[in-house]
Amino acid sequence: MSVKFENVSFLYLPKTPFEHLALDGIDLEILDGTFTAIIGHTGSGKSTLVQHINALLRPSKGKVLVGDYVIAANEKKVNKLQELRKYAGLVFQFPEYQLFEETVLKDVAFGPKNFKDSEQVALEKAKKALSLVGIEEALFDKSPFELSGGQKRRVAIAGIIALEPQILVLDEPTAGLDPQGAKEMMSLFKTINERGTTVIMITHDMDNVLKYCDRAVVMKDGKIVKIEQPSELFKDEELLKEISLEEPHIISFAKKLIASGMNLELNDIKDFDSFIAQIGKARSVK
Amino acid sequence: MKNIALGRYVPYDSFLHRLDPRTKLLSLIALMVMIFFKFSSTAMNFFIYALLMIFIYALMRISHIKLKTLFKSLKAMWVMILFLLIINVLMPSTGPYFDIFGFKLYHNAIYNTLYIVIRLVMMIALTMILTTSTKPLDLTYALEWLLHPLKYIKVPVHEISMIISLALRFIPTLLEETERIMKAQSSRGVDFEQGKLKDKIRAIVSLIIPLFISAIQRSEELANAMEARGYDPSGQRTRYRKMQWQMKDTLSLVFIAILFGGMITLLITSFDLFLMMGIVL
Amino acid sequence: MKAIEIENLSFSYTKDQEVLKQLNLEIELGSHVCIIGHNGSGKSTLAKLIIGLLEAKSGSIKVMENEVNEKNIHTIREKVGIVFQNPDNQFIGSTVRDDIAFGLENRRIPQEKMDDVIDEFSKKVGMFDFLDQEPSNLSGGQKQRVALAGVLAMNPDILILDEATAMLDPKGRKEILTLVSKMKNDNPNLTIISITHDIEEAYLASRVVVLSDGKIMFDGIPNEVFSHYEELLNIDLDIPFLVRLKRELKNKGIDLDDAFNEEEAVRRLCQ
Repeated sequence: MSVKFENVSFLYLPKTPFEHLALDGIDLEILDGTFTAIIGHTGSGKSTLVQHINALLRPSKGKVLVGDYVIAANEKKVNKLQELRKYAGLVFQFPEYQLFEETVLKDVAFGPKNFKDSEQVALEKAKKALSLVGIEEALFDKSPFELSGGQKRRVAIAGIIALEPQILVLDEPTAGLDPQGAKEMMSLFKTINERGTTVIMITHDMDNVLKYCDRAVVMKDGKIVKIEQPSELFKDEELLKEISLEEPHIISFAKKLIASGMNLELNDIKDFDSFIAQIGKARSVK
Repeated sequence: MKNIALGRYVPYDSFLHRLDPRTKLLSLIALMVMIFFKFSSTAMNFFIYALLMIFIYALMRISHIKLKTLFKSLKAMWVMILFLLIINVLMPSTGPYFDIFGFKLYHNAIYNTLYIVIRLVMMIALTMILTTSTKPLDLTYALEWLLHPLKYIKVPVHEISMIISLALRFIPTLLEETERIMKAQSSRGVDFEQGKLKDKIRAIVSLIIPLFISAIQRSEELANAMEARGYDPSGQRTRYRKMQWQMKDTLSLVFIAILFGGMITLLITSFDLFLMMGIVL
Repeated sequence: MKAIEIENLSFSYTKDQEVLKQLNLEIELGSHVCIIGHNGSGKSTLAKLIIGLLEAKSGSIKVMENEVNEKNIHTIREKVGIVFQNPDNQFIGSTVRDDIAFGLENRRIPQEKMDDVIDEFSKKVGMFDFLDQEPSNLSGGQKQRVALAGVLAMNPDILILDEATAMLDPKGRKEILTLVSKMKNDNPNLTIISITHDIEEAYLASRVVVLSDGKIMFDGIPNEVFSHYEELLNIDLDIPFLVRLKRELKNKGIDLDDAFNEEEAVRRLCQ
């Protein structure tokens, strides 16, 4: 049980002037319960990749295995497509654009109802998901369009969380949020991950990759160039340069300190606090 | 979504591509009118249609449109053609008829159906020639030029043309958006392909509402951006895109005018080539 | 002469909620000011008021001594150019070329002169090779570069960036910021007002204005403004890296207070 890509290629708009190989021979395995980051520049194929996980896109070549479900090239229909989409929930970029119901609660319950939950069960799940993302009850009966930008984002994400997926796929979930909102959002995903859900997240924010993710999948031109632990990834100067990836500020600063002779352990730096602790330790040893 | 290629501009460098959009628009109108002329006899009608079809086929060749593409776009019309045939056949008529087991199939019914089908095919072919050889925006300019006289009776010609060109600009953006929202809702279990009527309606609502809301927001931001860059719908503006009238435009129009004049003459004099040659059909 | 003079400016969209409250602000000609604030602090509203897209409820705004009102609106828009947040929704022309031309047409620049201007400014923003491209073939960053070219081609005295980089990826963001500072170097008289979320960008500006709940909370040079650490965190704003570093190290008993840049901080830490 995991997500597995076997030699997957995806041809965008074949036989048209816009034809373009968006994925090129992808081999990838993502284990259950992990927190994986997908990184790379716009146009590197990240979104195309994750849309294969719940069969919004079908491979032109190769196959994708998600849990017990198989999405293979050249097969017209995906077996048990609805079940698959409940198993692997996908949150799009700027998901607040998918809100449409009269009330916040109804909008979140929309997903579970589509997956054949009864009205009551759907509402229960919706309430649970809303409280998890930190939307208070007073807002349940409001129109989603009356909420602030950050609240809309939470409601939209709750709409997927309410499906209780085994795999949660997120496409730049913190884009456009203010720093505090982004922080809360990330710790929410960490909580969900710790409860056993596999989380796969596309992001440009390397601080988040370093702090929260077990592994980073680096993409370029439709190919995977590297799969690595974040702390190892940011040591690979050559790779960083090749894909012009900007390392977290704490890492670049730590590297400068190391270059000037400070004895820091890069692997132990995960976030600002551990970074400061490391400096403190190095200084006191001296 | 991007492969809705019907009548889409295809950047070749043909004679028709290089013509001024005004020439093409005027010629299209003239040809469209000619298609609807009705001459003195059935034989004459079909003769003229044959001439026009050859001419249109030549234009298609020049602008690199394959017959296959034309037939593809006609595919959706089959039902309509069949429908027209049935209506015409069932309509009471006069004149000679075939007797099919007591059912009177009038010759006129068959002719009338054929006329409509031929006109339809020619109209579609002509429109296709225009849109594949002319950039949408150039077409808008030509339209604005053509409608220019209406300004004097207070028709907001400039605004209309600005609206059309903005609509053209945002069609790809909105298509992309549609696809995105459909995918997002599919991820929430919406099935856009099958399901009961009730589910279908819900599916469409879940697409339309977000689409409207984002379109409204877009238009507001667009209006702000236009205003901030000094756009004033009632003010004078200069024009970046200038249409270039060339010798070949004049000659093309003269040719179309002669064709048009010739047709009118035939029409007025009730000239019948076949009658003159003593052939009666 | 000041670039912008704002006196007692108030504004509200609905009756019961004031977005801007009796705001006073002066911006010098040729300065580079960053305006920061959390979502809903009124910063984008302020930009729209300056350029006359919204009308003040009370108070006054002057742009280079011209009162912002209906009568002066053309003058104001000649002096102020603005780049908005959403790359798609401000791309008006059907190609890059037409989009840059849009503003020139409004300005009634003679058609013969347009091509030179379009070439010049598309080169400045590195979009010369894309002049005949349609917006759907461009990235967000490229569209914002076109927007910048379109605005600069009208030769404004004041350039407002209204979260112009918020929807871009890090690469696109960097490109725009590099471009803006290049513009500023080429034309030191250009006044730049950048409304932003990007705290590191604000740290490099010559002046930072912090808006909160429709009022100015802090106003000054970056080092001074960001020394109000707790207050800024309280209104959901981030803190520049160096400021945060110094602060947290100080709590550990390591004092870097006079380190004004990263290199200096590294030097002192490794002493």
